Amino acid sequence: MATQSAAPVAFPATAGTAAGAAPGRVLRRVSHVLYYVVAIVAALLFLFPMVWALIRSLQGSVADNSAPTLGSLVHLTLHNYGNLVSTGTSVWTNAGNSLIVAVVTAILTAVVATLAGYGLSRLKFPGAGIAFVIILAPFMVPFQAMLTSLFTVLTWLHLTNNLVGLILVYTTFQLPFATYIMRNSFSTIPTEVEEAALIDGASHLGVLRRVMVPLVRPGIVTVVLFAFFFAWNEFLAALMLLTTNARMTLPVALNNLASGAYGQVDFGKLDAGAVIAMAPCVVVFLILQRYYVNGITAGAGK
Amino acid sequence: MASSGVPAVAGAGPVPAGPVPAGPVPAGGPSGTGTAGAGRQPAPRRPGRNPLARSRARAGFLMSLPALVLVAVFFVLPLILVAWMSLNNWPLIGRATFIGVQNYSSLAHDKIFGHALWFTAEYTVIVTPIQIVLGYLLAVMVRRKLRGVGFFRTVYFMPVVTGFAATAYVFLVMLTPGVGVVNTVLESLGLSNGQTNWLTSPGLALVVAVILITWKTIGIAMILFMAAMQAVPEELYEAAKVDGAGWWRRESRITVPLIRRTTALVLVLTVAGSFLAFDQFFILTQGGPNNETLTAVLWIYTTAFVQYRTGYAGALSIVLLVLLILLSVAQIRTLRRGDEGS
Repeated sequence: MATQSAAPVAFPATAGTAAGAAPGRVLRRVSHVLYYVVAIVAALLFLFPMVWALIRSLQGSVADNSAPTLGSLVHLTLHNYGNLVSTGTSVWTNAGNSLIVAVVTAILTAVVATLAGYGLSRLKFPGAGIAFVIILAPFMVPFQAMLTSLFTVLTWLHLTNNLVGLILVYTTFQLPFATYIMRNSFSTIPTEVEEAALIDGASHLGVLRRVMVPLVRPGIVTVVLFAFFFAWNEFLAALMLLTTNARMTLPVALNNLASGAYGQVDFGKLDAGAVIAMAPCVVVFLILQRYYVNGITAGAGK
Repeated sequence: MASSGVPAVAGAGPVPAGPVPAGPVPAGGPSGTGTAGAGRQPAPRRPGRNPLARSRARAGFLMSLPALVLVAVFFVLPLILVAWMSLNNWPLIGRATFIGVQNYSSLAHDKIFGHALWFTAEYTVIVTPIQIVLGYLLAVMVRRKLRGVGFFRTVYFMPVVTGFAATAYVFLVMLTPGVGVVNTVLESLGLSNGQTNWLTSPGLALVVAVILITWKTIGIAMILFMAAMQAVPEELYEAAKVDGAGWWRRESRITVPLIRRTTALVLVLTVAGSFLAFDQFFILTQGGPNNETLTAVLWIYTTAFVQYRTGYAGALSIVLLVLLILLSVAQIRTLRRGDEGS
């Protein structure tokens, strides 16, 4: 702003006189207020569906299955959450399945991608370039385009209706992004660091574990976060591969809730299930959002 | 986030402790390859001669092996298999019989698939400009250094991390007549009779799906645009201000051209994402009424897992695959052309 008044008077249009400064300040204040009004309204719009689902999930089933009234919104109860035991399997069991799948996928992805990222970026072997291209390939061909054959392969391996099968599929389709991030993380570290450790007689795996991994921790956190969110939220593959209630992950269990028992959908329970599905993501994101956002901008660098 | 944009990569100094992956990557160019190149230098040319280099190469291969095995079994194998399946009459259970291109010739007469592709394209064409324009505007809002801007960034981005299924069910409840809040509010404002069936009218269902996808994914476009905008040198704006350029001129003459690559990227991401739409339509409309809101993936899923025509679904998948590859090639082309201009 200061430069404007200090600028040469060559441009009459900007040659703001002292008289012009006061309206300018008023204008700036108005635009300031306007900015916050727009930003806050937008924030409310973004928050509304999630907050609304939370409020509705905390009401009794009678209120939930009729139109909302201001009076009914005040009576809060955990009734729906205790009531999530639907036809045989509790939705809490499904949430447990989701947790197992998400955590194991996250760990497995981090381990496999860290190994591959290190092997590909630092321990160049003949064919490393091709190997990297192969690992990145699932980036370009999404699994939605090979549903049927993926199902067939998992049938051959006796891994349908099986959380292990789901975890392996999720890990495979997280690998391109994860390996890409890890390879980039490793290539920012000066070679001297590992050369020194190698001269001291450490093995390659030892160097990776004790020297390199601590240095690429931010990359690992990013990879873990993406894999966790993906596995926790994924719907289509889980819908296709999991067939019995007790094995289903949370998103698929929501589908059962929405189909309802005897055609009668309990909307309060559905909201409660959706809240359980959304809450961990929101909480984890609020704690570690820096790593997640970094992952998005880093992934964009491709 | 703002600080991690372009950290100076200190040559011999201490190892960067900050967010390593984001460092040189957004710049994409010289700094990233520079450090990678430095790592390559000391490696001997012929790994066969030198035992040290040989052990290094073996370790590298062994470390990459788990990833390669996973990709081979759960990606390469299904990819080859889907092509083979598409040439067979392949029931979900039982023996397959080779039928050549018969699946493809019956595909040509599949009106439902044609309609599904058309609807998917229509949906993509609606969603994409909204993502770009709204994502850009949100980025303009959150790129400023103002009090509370971090809060807004977080809130606008939050739906991105939640699941499609969960949010689609939240929307489903909100839109169900007699239960949902949307009709209640519209009725109390006198805008409707409170009986609108949002999900059984194809037009309204499409509107709902577009709103859902925008709410759910616009944060990604916002963050990508914001990062790109923050990389534009401040001096350019200062110079333009001195020259008397107003906000609109600065934005259209400086920001828009300089972040063209990011715009192309958002375009690619949105188009690819929209073309694979499944969750929200499966949950909100099941493709109905009368297959009016059927997307390509939803139809593939139905033929394979509801009608058990697995081989035919394979042929549909191959068509989708080819379309996706053509799309991404076209998009990469335009992206490259954009680069040459700059």
